[in-house]
Amino acid sequence: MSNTSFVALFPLFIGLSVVLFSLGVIGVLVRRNAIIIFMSVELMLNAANLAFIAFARSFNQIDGQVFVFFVMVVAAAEVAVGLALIVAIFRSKQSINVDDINQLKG
Amino acid sequence: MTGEQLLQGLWAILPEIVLLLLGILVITIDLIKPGQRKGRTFGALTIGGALVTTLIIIYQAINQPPEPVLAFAGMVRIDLFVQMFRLMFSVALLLAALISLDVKGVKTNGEFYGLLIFSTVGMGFMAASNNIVMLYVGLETTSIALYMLAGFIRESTVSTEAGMKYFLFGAFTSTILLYGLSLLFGFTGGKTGYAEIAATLQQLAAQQETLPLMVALVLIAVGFGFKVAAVPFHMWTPDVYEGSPTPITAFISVASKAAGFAVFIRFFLIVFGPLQEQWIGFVALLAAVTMTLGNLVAMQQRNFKRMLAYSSIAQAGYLLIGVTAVGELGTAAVLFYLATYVLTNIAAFAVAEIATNATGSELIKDMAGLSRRAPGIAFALLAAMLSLAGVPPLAGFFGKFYVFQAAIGYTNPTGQNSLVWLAILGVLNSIVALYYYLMVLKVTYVDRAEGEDVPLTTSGGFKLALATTVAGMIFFGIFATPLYTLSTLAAQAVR
Repeated sequence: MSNTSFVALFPLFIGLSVVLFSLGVIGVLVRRNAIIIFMSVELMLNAANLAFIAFARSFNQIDGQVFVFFVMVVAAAEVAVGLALIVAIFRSKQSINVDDINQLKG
Repeated sequence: MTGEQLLQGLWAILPEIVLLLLGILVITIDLIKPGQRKGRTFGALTIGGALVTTLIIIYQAINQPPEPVLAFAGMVRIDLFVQMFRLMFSVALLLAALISLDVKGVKTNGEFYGLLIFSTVGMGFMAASNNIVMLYVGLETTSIALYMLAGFIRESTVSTEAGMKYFLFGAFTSTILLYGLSLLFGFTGGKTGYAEIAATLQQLAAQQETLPLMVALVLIAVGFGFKVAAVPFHMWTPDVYEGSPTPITAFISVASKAAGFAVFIRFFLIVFGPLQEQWIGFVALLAAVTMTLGNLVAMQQRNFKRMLAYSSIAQAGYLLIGVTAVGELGTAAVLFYLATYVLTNIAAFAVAEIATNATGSELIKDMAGLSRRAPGIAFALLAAMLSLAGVPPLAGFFGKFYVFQAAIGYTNPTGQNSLVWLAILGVLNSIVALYYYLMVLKVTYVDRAEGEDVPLTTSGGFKLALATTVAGMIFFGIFATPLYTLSTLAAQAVR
């Protein structure tokens, strides 16, 4: 992408990132299925990644792009742990609806 | 990077390296050793490794140069402040391993100790971070290991539920934190180091362009608020504390909270230092709501671990007062408070585990007769409850005293003190809190129960952990000065 077209598109990248992040937050708060909540969290992570890359490109700072690699690694680790926990909860309760996960309360 | 710089960097993070190797060793032995002969190997290894790490940290702290050591191109920064936090983490690891030795489902499991060690490594890097990349990676290393530990007992429905809740809340809030970091990265023109960000924020604050920065600040505060269990990001706390294996609850409630405060202080005092006037009111409100809600809800609890969870929320509120009273006095108070809190809360949870083992119930009313069944353990509970309530001559009293003193001594740049109300609210709150701490003692010391003549036997790990923590609480309650001097020196190193 040439530099002039990037400058023109920069607000769109940031706008898209904000939209993705908001969709993710709404998804976490509204949906009740643990896997969909988790997918929404991944959407938020990618919104942050997009913002990092757009800022990194616009300031010519490589740090932002490096950060994205770290975020990807962390996200992969989080997926492994998260899905394992979801499987464990499904085995014990036969459901991954967060409203059914209510044994602990008081 | 020259060879000498590399060596200096490796020396700076030696405690983390030792712990990392120990964790890998524990997991490897777990894989190759036949199941029936595992016994206490891993617990002993963890305790030994934590002791060695503690000694290394003490040695490093004594030989700490006056200037902070920046290693790996400024990624980590080691000063006395970091050393003091590392010391708390390694002591917490040591005590958590001690009280895990006889807990069903975890005692002979190498993965359990391995994860405990890895999460301590993450905490060390969190406290030492000097760059937002390091901060995020350290925070996630800590959290991911703790999610697994909270849900560690797969056969138990409450443990998996605790792990699941911790994971969903943790992943959600840490992603909000990450988005805040990305905005901060953008608003400062692509800076990742703390010092560079602070310098840029200084300029932006001078130009009165702080509104977008406040958005980033609030998003970042959500992530830190989750770590320290501050209201309104506390919803996970009671469920996770109740459902997790008790040693893990103890570890989360002290080490993870301390790590949260380490980054909270570093980030808000240094990076957001130029925006101080804007955030002080916000954090003061957070402190006020956190301690009040924590104490009021704790009073209504019947489950002991759940009550301790709300009590730990309230303690986070008191600690936030120290953060709000920006400066040496406030930071030193937080450090002192956290150091004593590590000892106190681990003792409280150790007693919770012993009582649950003996009676099969976590309810406070079932702890009746404990003082006659096991006078020593009841005394440890007495010390822990009174220290949490802030009764002299126990260490918790001085923690509260220094925090409130810092709030009263605080003056803002215009020379006024705007935090006296917070100190008064804090004192009122500690009076309210006395009620539920004393309630527990009333049940254990006054109430009678069937089978109270049967003596309760406890294993060596619990006894050693309780003896150490109680000795610490009493020692630092009577001789508070050495620890407070260390806290002051550490607080001076933050700048």
